Parts: sequence; C-alpha cells; structure tokens
Amino acid sequence: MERVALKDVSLEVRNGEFIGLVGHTGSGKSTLIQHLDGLLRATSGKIFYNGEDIYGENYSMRELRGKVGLVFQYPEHQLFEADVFTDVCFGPKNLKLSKEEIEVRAKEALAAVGMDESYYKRSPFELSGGQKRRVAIAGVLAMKPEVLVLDEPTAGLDPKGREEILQELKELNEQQGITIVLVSHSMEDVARYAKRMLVMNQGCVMFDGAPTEVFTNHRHELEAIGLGVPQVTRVMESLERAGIPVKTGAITIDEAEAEIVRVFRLD
Amino acid sequence: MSMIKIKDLIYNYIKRDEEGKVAEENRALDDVDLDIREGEFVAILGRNGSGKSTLAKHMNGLLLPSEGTIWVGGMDTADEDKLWKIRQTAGMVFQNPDNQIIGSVVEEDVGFGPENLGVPTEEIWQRVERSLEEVGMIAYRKSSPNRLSGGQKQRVAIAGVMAMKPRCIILDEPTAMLDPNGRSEVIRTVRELNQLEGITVILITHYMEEAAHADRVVVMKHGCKMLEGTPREVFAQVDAIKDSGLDVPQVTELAYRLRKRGLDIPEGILSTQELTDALKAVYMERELK
Repeated sequence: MERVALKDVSLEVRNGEFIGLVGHTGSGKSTLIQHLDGLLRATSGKIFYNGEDIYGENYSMRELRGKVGLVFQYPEHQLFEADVFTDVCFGPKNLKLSKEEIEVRAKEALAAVGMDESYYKRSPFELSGGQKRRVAIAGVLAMKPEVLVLDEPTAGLDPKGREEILQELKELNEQQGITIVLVSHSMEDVARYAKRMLVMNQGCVMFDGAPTEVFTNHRHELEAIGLGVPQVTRVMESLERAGIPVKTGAITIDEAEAEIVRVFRLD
Repeated sequence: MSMIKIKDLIYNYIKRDEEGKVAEENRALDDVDLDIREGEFVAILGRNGSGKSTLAKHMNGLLLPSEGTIWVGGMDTADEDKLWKIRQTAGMVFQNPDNQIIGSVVEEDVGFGPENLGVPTEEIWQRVERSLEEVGMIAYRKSSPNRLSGGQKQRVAIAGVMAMKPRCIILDEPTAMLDPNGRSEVIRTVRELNQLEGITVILITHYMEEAAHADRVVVMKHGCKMLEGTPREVFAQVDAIKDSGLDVPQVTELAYRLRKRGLDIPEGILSTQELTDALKAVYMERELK
C-alpha cells in the first residue's frame, strides 16, 4: 500500500527563525521533520540545506545530521548511559572529536538546559521527567547543531517543566542563534514562543505566517481541523461581541491584559 | 456514600541494592486523607513526582499502602481476597493507549475484560456494544485499533474499562499524548460517563482547563495534599498554584491580573463567559456614569 503523507510542500526556513509547527495527528508534521535531517527521503522533490541539494551525489548526510539536530518525542527513552555526563558525551564522541572538545561540548550543552555539575554523575534514570527530557535535549545540543527540530518536547511534563524547556529553547534561539522548529500541540505555547507558525493539514502546509496573523485570521479553519486558538484569543473575541470596544488579536495573556487595561483606562 | 476512602496513607518506594538490602527509602505519599463520594468528579493535579500517580495506583490495588488504609467501595485494598472485586469496581486508564490495547479488532479488545471475568458470551457482546456506544465508538467496532487516532484509541481503552461495569474510573494523564482534538474527545467522553452514567471519575492531569470541569480539585505536593476545593476555590489561589510549579487556565490568570490592576471582578473566574459577563458589568456601570 502506498499513501501520500506529504503533498507538494514548498517551504523555506531562514537562519535564526523560531518556527512553531502544528497540525493534528496524521497531518504530516512528523513526516516533514524527518525529511529535514534526511532520515526520510522524499519520493519526489528536493531539499536544500544552505543552498546545497541534500540528495546531491557528493552530499554528506552524516554531516547534515550533525547540523540539523532532531529531538524525537519522549527522547528520554533513548537515554542509556550510567550517568548524565557520559550520556551527553555519546553524540560528540561519534564525531571523533578530542576528549577535551567532547567534554567542553557536554558541559556547554548541559549548562544550556540548566543542569549544573551536581547532576553530572547521577544516573539519568533517577531524574524527574523534565530533567530526563533536558538531558536528552543536551545530548543533541552537544552535536552543536545549527538547527534544532523538536517533536513535542513538552509532552507529558507538568507546567513548570514545560515552561523551563521552552525558556531554554528561547535562549538558544536568541543568544546562540540556533534555528528552532518546534512541533507542538499547544497553541498557547506556539503563541508565546514562535515567531512564525506553520499549520499542516492532510500533508499540505495550510497556513504559514506570524502566529498573531494566523490565529486571528484563520480561527474558524483552525477549529475545523481540530486545533483551535489560545483561550485568551477567544476571550477577546467574546468581549468584542459583548460590546466592549477591545481590539481583538491578542494571542498571549500579556497582550490581552494590555488591551483590556487600555480600554478600561487602568494605567 | 463514599466510593473511595483513604486514611493516613503512607507509601515508601524502597530501593534495594544487589544483595537485596534496603539502599534507599523514598516517601512518595505522606499521610494522605481523602474521601471521594460516589458519582463525584475529582481532578488531581501536581508536578511530576508529587505522588499523584502513586496515589492513583492505590485506588485499584496496584500498590498497597506502607501504612494507613484505603477502601474502594467499602473494601480494604489490603484484603487479597477482594482484589479482583476491587479492580472490577475501580478501573484504570493510563497515558499511552498503545500499551493498553491488545485486541486486533476493536470489539474484541473491549470484550477482553468481561471475558476474563467469566461473563457469559451473550452478555459480553451486550456489554461491548453498550460500552462502545457510551464512548461514541460503536461505528468502529470492526476496525483495527492501530488504524485509529490517539483520541479514538483512548476512548476504546475507556470502553474496555466500562465493559467491566465499574463504579469508578481512574484516569492517569489520559490526554498527555493526544492532540487538541483527541484531548477534547476524551474529556467529553469522561464527563458524559460521569454525568449520564453516574460513574465516579478521578482524573489526573497536567492540563488545568481539564480540571476546571471537575466537582473538586486536589493539588498534590511532595506526597501531601497541598490544596483542595472546588475548581473556583483552588484556581483563585493563583500565586500558591504558580509557586508550586503548576498553572491556572489562561482566562483565570487574565482575570486575576485584571483584578490586581483594580478592576472590580470576582475571584476564581474559570470560563470565557464568566470573564465576559464580569467585564461587561463593569463596563456598563462606567458608561452610565
């Protein structure tokens, strides 16, 4: 049996972007991201990384996988070493770097996910869900990717654990210039963190734009494909319908607060 | 009437070394008291590691207390003779639907539980049909479970529990792996079972909006109950909840911030409609002035 999972997708990801990729289960988003580091090979079409055709004859897929780091769902299931530090060293070790370089990278990666030296010698299996997840992300960061693609990195974590991971991604993006592609089921998280939003449906890119634009102009289409908009966006629309002269279009709590404060002159 | 009663419950996870000696003891539950009434919908919140899942596993005898007692439908879970009766009374649904579905056809999977209980064949099919109707999956009875979406699989898992005719369902993060569509399907199903069938529901979740539908919310922290009350009472304590690493629904936080800014609106707002009504009242009053 053959089934088309992705249909005629054209897309350009620019350096330093923070992209939120949404779509219901089966919409093609996981298939799409597995093309980004060459894990899946397109049936037809081309993919260019920094202008080079990744299906080209002399192109090194191995090198591509070093540059595009893919963090799968529940990545902590892939932790296996006896301690945190050794686990994070595993990736760079395979890059045949010097021992010093490997350790420097592991330290940097662990620092980037907020795990200090006290964790280095601990077994990954004793850590909390959120900590394990961060160790797994550090393992990919230690490869020094230019692009980090994460498939629902906050699934199953509590609110604080979610927040910590998202803040760390934001810092990686802003301070180190790493391009982030975040697959998420949380419209609230996409609204808060992504600068650009891609909506997948039935193997196609249905919408591509700034989250504010997508959430405010396409609310009904998003609901029809089972995604919806952040709760505060609905709040502002409800206020407008009730005759309160607010501007709709807020997608975060901060924006909604500011707009209501303005209308009610609370400053 | 009490469906589940927990008294002075303590549970220690014991880690043993290679020789079987106790190497470490961690207290996962520390003197918990809880009384869940028949027909109640209780949401349990708490950070990863706060003891919520450990507590849930006590509610159908998967774990037994280190100290204290827990009664399910009046039966002490420590009473081995009652174990099967207890598991039949209180069914459990877990996070990952793929780990819970075993049949290759939906209706066979749902019939597995009652078959194990020795229910006569004809009644098994009646129960299967009824359970699948209750979760809105009757149209898929002949389907293969692996062709279903996450939300559909989870509803089949719930039907499997319902076919055992439980009085109580315990769901341990049933929506954690689902997309928004799947999440709302599962929550709608659970609420219907509670409201229409009178099934007692205990829902463990990290999604605060899901807890807003409950009759009562229990917040766990370090193995103890930290807060307990109606969703309105609990979510009104925005600072305490945030300090403990949890969150409140977006609309609740927005209302809370506006209240702090001096708007005269009630505490513990839980829905878009409530906030709209409250703001409209303030707005109209100002217009009149």
